[in-house]
Formats: sequence, structure tokens, C-alpha cells
Amino acid sequence: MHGGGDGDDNLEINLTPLLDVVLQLIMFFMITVNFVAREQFNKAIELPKSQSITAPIDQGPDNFVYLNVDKDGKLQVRDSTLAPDKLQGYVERERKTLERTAQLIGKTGPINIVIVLRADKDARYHQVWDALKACMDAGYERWQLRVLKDVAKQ
Amino acid sequence: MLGKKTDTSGEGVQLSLVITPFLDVAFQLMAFFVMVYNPAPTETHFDGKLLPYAKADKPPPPPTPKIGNKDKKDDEPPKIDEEPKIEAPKDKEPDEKELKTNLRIIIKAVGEADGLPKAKEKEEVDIGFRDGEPKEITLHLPGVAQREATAIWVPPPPEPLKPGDGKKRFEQSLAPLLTKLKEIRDGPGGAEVTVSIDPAPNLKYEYFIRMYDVCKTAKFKEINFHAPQKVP
Repeated sequence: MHGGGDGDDNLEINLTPLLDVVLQLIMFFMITVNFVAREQFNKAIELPKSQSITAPIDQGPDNFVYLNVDKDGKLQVRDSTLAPDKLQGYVERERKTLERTAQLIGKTGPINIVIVLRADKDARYHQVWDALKACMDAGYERWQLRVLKDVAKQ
Repeated sequence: MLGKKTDTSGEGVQLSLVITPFLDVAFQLMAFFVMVYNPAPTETHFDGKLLPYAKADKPPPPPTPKIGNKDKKDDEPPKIDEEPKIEAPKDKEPDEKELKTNLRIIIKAVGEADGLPKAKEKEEVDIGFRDGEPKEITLHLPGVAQREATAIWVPPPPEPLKPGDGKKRFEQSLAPLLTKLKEIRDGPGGAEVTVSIDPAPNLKYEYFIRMYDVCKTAKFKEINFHAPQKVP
């Protein structure tokens, strides 16, 4: 990289701008990267769009239990398909686990756990209803129905 | 960042910062983030409260539960919903309070009962509606007898329809529906009106959400949805 010849002529590539750009890119990716579990961002689920809701996702609750319903009405949890009759047992177990975890880290009082239902737009109403009803029977009190913001029409 | 060759004692000591490892790590980090980069979807949500079933001391059969979005305080006692189904038994009329304050939106959907084949993925059907698409929207207005329904959108006369017409007509029907809902909301006693969405079991979730959306746009505070009448 160094030029030869007489005297002190140093022919070096100036790497400073390259480094600047690389570090800026790294910072950009670090800030915008979104590490989520597959169950929270299942690309196979095409969410319906909403024109009226603009607020961001409420991160207030202590914990979330994610349920995905695909276009065929199958329940997807943790990368596997769950039979409808097993759902209530699953969400009950999840709730107990989350409550125990919260107690272990010293949280006192009621634990606010919310059901997050991500249903495909082509799923049927009775499939969505059945999922919510199983959660209701399992003692959950709040739900979130995930939709996409219809930015084009807002 | 880079040092220069400095000649201190005539032997030419080279004091330069070696940045190659630094650059390597920086590029590796960048490659990692490029690979895992996933732009966050513009996801949002409707939220609400699950209303529990009637307590065990209530007489059988258990009432039809409904799920609503009413924002309730945590110290409020659980709401027990004994609202009848839309096809109310002949010997039981809805109570007066419900008739006065509850607006029910009924959405019927095309299904096998209509003699139509189930639409499969990417399958073109030569009829206007596909399985699970809405075909009729009616309102049961507050203060009006249960059987008197106001049609917002009724099935069109038989005519050759193209695929996708059902969706288009549904979208067109939402504007008059929204106007009607706003009229009710802004009318006398409108603030106390609750909305119940009563979709057909096989209605596609997408249309249910659009209906929920319209009710939200009309600024109703309490929007419930009913148990499906029967699962096909």
C-alpha cells in the first residue's frame, strides 16, 4: 500500500470516510433491528387492514400470549399447529408459567396478561371466536386483535 | 486514525494503528445486521375485554356469551351477558332496555347453504360472491322491535356477476352504513347505544374487522360481537 520512491511520500488509502459510513450503517441497523419471535411475526399470517386505528401497539401489559390463526383456521403457536381442543389447556399453562415467572422476579399483585390474536384475513369468524372463547374460559380478561394499519387510506 | 512513519533514531520506527481487525469486525457486524434486518410491520390492534360466562348459580342453559371492547375498570364487577341470540326464541323477546340501547349489525355471508361451491385458493368462480364473503347487512336499530330490520345492503337481483363483485359491493355499502351509524351516535341517547356485531360463522375475518372498523369510526364506545349462530 505504500508507494516507493525517494523521500517521505506516503501513498495510503484514506479509510476514514469508509469507516464512518460503516459505523453509521451499523448504528442504523442496531437501532432499527427488530428481534421478535416467529410467533409474533408469522409471515404466513396475512393480517386484515384497519383504517381507524392509528395508535401503536400497547406495550403496557406485563405479558402477552400470542395466538396465530392461519387462513385455514389452524392455530399456530410456537411454530407448531395446535388442535382446537388443546387451546384452553395451552393458554392456561402459559398463564401459570408467566405468573410464576413474574413472582420469581419479585412482582407482586395481579399479573396483567393479554391475549394477542393474530388471525389471517381469510380465517373465518367462528374460528376467531372459538379461539377467544377458549381464552375466556381459561380466565383471560383482555385481548388484542392485531391488524395492519392501512396507511394508504388514512 | 493512521499513524505515520516516523524516523526517531535513524532506524525508521513505524508507528501506525492497524485498523484491519477493526474493519473486519465492523464488516462482520454489518453483514449480521443486514441478514437479520426485518423492517417492523405497521401493526396495530383493537383491544377489549373478555366478558366471562354467567356464574354457576345461573340456571341452564348457559347464555350466549359475547365479547366486547368496553373499557371497564378492573374493580368493576364482571359483566354477565344474557343477551339472546339474534334468532330469538319465540317465547322470549329481548328485554326493553336492550331494545332501547342496543344496535345490532347482522352480517350474512355466502356459504354452502347458498348452493355455492367452496372457493379454493386462486380458484376463479363464475359467480359474484365467494364462500365467506358478505351478502347482506341489516341493522336492528335501538328502540325498534327485534324483527324490524333496516336493510343496509341486501342481495342484488340475479344477474351475471364477476369474481370480486361481492367485496366491491360490501365496500360500497360501508359508506351508507357509516352515515347511519353516525346519525344514531349523534342522535338522542346515542351516547348510551351499544353496538353488537353479529356475523355469520363463515364470514371471513377481514370483513368482520372492516365492520368493527366502521363502528370505531362512528365513535361508539362499546362494541361487542356475538357468538356465531352455528358452526358450519
